[in-house]
Amino acid sequence: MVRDTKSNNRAVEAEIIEGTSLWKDAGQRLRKNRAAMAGLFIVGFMAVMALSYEVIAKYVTGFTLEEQHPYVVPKPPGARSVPATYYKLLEPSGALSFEAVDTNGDGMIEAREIQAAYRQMEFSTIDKNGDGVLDYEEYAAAPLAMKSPGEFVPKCEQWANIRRSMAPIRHPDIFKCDAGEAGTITIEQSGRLVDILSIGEARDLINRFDKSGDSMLDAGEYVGLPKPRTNLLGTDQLGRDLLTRMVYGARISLAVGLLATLVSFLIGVSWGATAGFVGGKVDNIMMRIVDIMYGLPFMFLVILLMVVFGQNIFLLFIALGAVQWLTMARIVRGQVISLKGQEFVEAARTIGVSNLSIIFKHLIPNALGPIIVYATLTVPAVMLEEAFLSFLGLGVQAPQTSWGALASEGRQLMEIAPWLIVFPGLALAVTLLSMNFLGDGLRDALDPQLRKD
Amino acid sequence: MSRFIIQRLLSSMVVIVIIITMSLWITRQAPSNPCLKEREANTCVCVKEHALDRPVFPLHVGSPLQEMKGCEFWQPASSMSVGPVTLIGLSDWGNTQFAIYMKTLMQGSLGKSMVTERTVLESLKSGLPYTVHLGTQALLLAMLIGIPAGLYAGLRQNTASDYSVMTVAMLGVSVPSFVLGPLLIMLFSLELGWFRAVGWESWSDSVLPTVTLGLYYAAYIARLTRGGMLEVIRKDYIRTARAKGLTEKLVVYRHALKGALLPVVSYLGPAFAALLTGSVVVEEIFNLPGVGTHFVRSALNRDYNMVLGTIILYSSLLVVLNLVVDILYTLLDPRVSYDK
Repeated sequence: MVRDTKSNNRAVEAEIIEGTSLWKDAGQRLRKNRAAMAGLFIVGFMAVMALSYEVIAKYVTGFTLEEQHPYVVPKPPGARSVPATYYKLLEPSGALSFEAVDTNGDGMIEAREIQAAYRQMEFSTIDKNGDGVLDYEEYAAAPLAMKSPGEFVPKCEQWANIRRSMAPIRHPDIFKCDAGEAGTITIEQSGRLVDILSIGEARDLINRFDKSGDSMLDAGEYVGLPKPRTNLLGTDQLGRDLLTRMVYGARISLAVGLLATLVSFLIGVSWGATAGFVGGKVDNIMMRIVDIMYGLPFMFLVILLMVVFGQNIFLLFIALGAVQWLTMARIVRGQVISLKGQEFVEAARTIGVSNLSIIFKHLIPNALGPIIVYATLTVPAVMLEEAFLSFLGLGVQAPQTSWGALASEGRQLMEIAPWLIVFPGLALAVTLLSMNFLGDGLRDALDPQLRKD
Repeated sequence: MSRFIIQRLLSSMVVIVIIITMSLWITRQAPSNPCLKEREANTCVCVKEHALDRPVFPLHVGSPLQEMKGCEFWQPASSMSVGPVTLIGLSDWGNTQFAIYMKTLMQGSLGKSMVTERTVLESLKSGLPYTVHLGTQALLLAMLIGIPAGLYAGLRQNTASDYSVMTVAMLGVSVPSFVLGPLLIMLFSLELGWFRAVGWESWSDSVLPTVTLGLYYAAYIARLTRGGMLEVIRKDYIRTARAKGLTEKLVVYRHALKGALLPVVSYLGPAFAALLTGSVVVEEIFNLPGVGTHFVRSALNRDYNMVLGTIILYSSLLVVLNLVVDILYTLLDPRVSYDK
């Protein structure tokens, strides 16, 4: 018993003596900040998405960055396409058996027959009650049925002329044009409502399995058809899957944000630390240069650089980083000046540590808190600038894409395909919001004195 | 004070010269130029000694035209433009294209557009009213929303209303204008039909662009004002003011407000720069005929004279506005003085 109390006492003593380090303390404060933690979680999620683009393309979305499914486009969210690269084959039995697909019975499957097979497949998906015809509810619920652009509803004669070139309009009058007396429409009348595969795609599909080189599939070559997949967020005007492109765009957007911040970090820390440490005239001149550069319209110089040297992604993040280092330099200089008079620096100097080591081994690590906070807030700023450049057509170039570039493409089709600008814009806004919350939270956690409350 | 202003003006001139030099130098490094575009090839001639009133382009390996490969320098056949700087002939400084550009500039000309037939000055003059109108309106909107919101939140620190105002402000600084703009168009023009989606003919056409451009700054200013208020409200002079029995209203509006607005005033300098940049995007979204649209079009067309002219205009605007902000600052904060 006695020994127990003693050891308990010792434990209590140890607890009292063992203080928490600055970082541990900051970590605890950060964990209590719910907005910052939510931000951290979302940023982490986006980063994981960006890193695992290949895996996501293969197992989640099923489409690749560049594959086009240009039949009825742009496809709204929930529409389906037949993947060209990562596909699963459907069993060649039942409605997909060789005999069933080969509708003209000549022992060969042609592109038209493949298209018809998918049409049948799609029709039975839309035909919820399975009666072989579509009523208006089923018709209107079909993913490819289009919202009428504006108030425009064509008359039946007009519709008859254009229905071959566009997806059906979700409108009772248009439905009546197709349905006529019967009040329901059959697969023959449903037009592009059920076509998810262009004839060109069907030919490509045949060529993939065709061994004999006759651009048709015989019974031996036919192994079933690729399973259609849903475009969860729709497609653009070339039929490219938006979600896949957004996941890839996350990679570019985040990479530009991080690398440009790294560039600004390196320049700003070296510049500010040198100015603050050397002091005197050198400091004066270096900070005067920073002051002058503050007045420069840097974005325009970056635009000029992008115009002149072509839209090179490495140039992009170096240029963006090179314009963001000014504030970093000021912060670091201020920190270094306040630190360099302290005893530990004098001690280091007394034992003969070189200036360079004092700067990089003693001063910068101690000034790290504000530096990290500012760097965290630089990432969203740079991402915004990249998106801004890409939006103007001066940022990343095809085949690469970023959220800004996607939003830029989406703006062209805003009226008929709002999802093309809404989803990339949302991804960008949510990520920037999370990063800002995280940065604010880090500031509050690392530097309680700065905290405005 | 006047000495400070003169000093600042002089250093501003230096800044502008630096910008012109940098921009000229960058355009001279261009791997692509008007002489390389196929349709314009016949407008360019091969030169050994280039005429100095036109830009000269060195031979590039990437030239699409066979006949261009045998020539060292290409130059537009007519003197359609004052050229960008050439670093060839540095020994003869007075005759470099840099010197010529500066001389032309002194005469108040920015040269001719390399694509359209107008002079750069004409294009800028036609665009500037729109840009200035949009920028002023957006800044006014930002201050009218941002400052009251910031004060409101700052005076009710750590209450639900503080948190909600600040969350909205955080949202405001996170939604890019090129996302907000199209969303506003979709909602207010396409769905509700209150405003026209593009163009600028009457005042109502300026509403959506102004909101798109101004909301970000409103959010930012709200954050700054709140921070400034929190800092000031704890100062001794506020306690003194309260102690002598002033009403809370008087304390806030007569004593605290001035101090709380200091961060906002010092943000105005960078804000002008950002507003100019931001208006490029907003003009592009709403298809407004402002300077920003000219800038983007000319940049995409590689119309370097036009780009240079726009950059010079923007930098001069910025320099002047920054000077105004600095003077304004002395008026608000008696501790800051530029007289030694």
